[in-house]
Amino acid sequence: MTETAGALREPWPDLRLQREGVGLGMWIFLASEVLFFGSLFCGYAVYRTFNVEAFRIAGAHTEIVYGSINTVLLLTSSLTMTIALRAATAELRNLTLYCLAATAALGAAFVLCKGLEYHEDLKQHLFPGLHFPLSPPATQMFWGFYWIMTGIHAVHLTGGIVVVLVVFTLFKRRVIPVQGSTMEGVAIYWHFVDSVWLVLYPLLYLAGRP
Amino acid sequence: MSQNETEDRQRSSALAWRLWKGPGLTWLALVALFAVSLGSAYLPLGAGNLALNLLIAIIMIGLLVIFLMDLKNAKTIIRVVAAAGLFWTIFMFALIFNDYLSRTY
Amino acid sequence: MTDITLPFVPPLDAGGESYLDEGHTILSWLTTTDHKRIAILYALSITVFFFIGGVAIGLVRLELISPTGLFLTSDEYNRLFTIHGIIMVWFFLVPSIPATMGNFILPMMIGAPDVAFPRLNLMSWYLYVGGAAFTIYVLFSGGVDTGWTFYPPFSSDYSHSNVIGAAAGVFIVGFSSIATGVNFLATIHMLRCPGMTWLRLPLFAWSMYVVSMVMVLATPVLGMSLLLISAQRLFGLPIFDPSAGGDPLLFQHLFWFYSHPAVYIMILPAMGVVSEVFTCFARRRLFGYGFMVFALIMIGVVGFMVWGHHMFVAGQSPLANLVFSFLSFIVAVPSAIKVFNWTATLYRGHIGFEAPMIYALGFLGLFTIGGLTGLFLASVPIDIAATDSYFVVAHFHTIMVGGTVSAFMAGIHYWWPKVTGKLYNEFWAQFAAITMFLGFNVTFLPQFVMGWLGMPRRYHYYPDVFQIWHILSSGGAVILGAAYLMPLVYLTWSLFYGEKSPDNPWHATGLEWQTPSPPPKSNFLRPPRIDADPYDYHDFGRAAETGDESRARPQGDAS
Repeated sequence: MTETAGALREPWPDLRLQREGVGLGMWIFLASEVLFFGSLFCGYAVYRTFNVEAFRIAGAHTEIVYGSINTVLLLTSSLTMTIALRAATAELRNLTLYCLAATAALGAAFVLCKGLEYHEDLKQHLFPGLHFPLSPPATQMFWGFYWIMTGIHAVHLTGGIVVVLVVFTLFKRRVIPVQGSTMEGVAIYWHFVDSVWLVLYPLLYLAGRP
Repeated sequence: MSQNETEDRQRSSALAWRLWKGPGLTWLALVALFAVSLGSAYLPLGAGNLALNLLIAIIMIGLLVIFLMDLKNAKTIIRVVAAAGLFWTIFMFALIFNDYLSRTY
Repeated sequence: MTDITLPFVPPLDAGGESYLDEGHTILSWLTTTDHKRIAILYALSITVFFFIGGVAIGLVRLELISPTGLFLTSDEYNRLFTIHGIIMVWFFLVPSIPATMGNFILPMMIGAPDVAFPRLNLMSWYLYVGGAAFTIYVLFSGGVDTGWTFYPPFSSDYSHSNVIGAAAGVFIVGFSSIATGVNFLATIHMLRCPGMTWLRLPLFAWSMYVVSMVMVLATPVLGMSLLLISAQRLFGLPIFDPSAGGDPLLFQHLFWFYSHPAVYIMILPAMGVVSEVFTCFARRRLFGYGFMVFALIMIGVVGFMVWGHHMFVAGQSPLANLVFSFLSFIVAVPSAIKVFNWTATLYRGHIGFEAPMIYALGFLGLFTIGGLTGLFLASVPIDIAATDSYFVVAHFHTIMVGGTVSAFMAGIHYWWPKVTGKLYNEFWAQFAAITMFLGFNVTFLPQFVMGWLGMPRRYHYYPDVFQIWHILSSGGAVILGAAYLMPLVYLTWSLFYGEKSPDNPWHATGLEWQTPSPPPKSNFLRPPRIDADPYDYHDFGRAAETGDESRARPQGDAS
């Protein structure tokens, strides 16, 4: 129990309340992130509504294989993150550490895949500008949104991976105990990043397939 | 000693099963839905493709939020916060589309 | 909400040490997690930026004395009013009351030892500093000339100024806002002391709650709009480019989705402060507590649905104009409720005219005028004529300067003894308050007139017929500027030579007053407990009798 005492932080009177507080705080932050991505999706939605054919043409050129693999990777990482949180709450330190490591690894695999995919896209000059190969012009709009949407998502995911690795190290070195409030916040954030991808995937990869 | 160890191991594997069961089932459902979404994208449904894909995405997020993020057991305030993010996004979409869809130019 | 019992551990030395004594090095201030110290860090930062923004517009007002300019090129002129807007909105007004008084007073007002996430609180301040650093860099690298509104295609394609730097600064400081909002919401939900039920929260606490909700939900959309502009500018992504199917109006939708709620971010805390000051200096309970809370929430929610009134002539559909105009009329109703209720609070009050009260009274009048002129602008036919004229400029300055800055000053003076343990010089404070009120009116009433007569905003050169109004306005700005300098002098003086303040010099109710001034690091020497409604200045149904010492139930260790 002295391990737990190290987890309690000012100004919280007890650990249960602290965990609730961290959970609440992270959900509130998530609400702001929903609006952040929501406004981006709103822009996409407006433009798609008025350029259906162009978006269909443009969407046929996204790398469905990479995208689909990435979806499965992220879904699995959400699974391992959930187990990590449950293990932490049950004070199973080793399981928590394994699952955190697995989550980070799956996230890193996603980023690797994304990098390879970006390389493919750039080889085909699918970046709005001079050598853009598609027409009509609104296909450039789709691809502009593609780069921004996947880019910002990747930034969020990378941030998440860094946090997971930091937290893993803090747990491993017993700087903070696993049953503290840290896992709450990390898990909630990770699931959010996965949720964003679940919206992004159909918008960017499943348009224009038939 | 070794009987205690065996009991410990049995207890911990029972615990491990309980830990993995719910999330594991959710994961299976999510992957299945993903497969449906991907598969249906190749069917010529016209505007129905997008609608179906988005519907499946919403269901998937719902499963993730309720079962993996444990929103079903969360306190009311958390659910209000989650709803607020959603509703505010809906306001934004509604009022912006109100402009775009009523333009005649 | 369940009552929370905070098991209190009395500090080791329960006498004498205030939060100011906990470490005297600069490092102790820069690494503090004490909400009171962070509040002071913010106060110093926003004061610096207030004066930078003030100098910028001082130069503009000087230039506008002549219809053909005096010493600025048009390019320099554009950069000056742009940086004035950016600094005043994001680096002064938005953080002003929440980051200073919210940080210092809110936890004390609800009986908490600190905010929910003290380290996040410090990070909020560092995010502010980071955003500020970008802004300083923009200043030194020639500025930005797009107007604080960053409209494309000028900002994304044609401007030859540091748009990205300015956008980055605002983006970063936006996260400071969001972090503060998260912190305050969690604090109010989870750290209220026993007996502090939701309907016993003082109005300032409620205003912090609603403003936090608005900050959390609105600011990310601003971030995205600036990110999209930067993506178009840096990488050539045609987000708002019509030749690729883009629409510059989409930027305006996203920008104003934040920037309209932003003005409510600026006014809601002011309303909270004013509710505290009126009740204390009229020795009266707040009239219509329930409606006042309801009004705050209505403003916060409906305020998200009116942004299109900034775009009536931009190219929105007529239906959108109609919807936004209607909703803009609706949003005026809760504000009006508050003005009526403040007035009713003053009725039969035992009114003192100390500086906080003078500022609050100024707020009441100027907020009403500003709000009414907003109603003019909510009407589409009138707005078509008045848009982009000085009428709009005068309208929003009346609310933001006449309203928010007045309330900010009221709060600074009201809580000065609590924060510093010193009394400021009342005569000079009252003199400054009155000068500020007069200076404000001489500056901005002519702007209403010339706007109505057709003077466009942001114009460097203008027709001779408007010169007299510009000269009046610039003269008023000199008075206003002098009035702003006065508090710097007498407040600083009071820090060193001011009379030591008793713990509760105003005999105010409110938990923050039931503890020593300045407070100890843990805020309370004994566990706080609430068993009365807020503003318990007299029995229900009876205003304070003349001459009576009003009740302020001692609940802590105030002397």
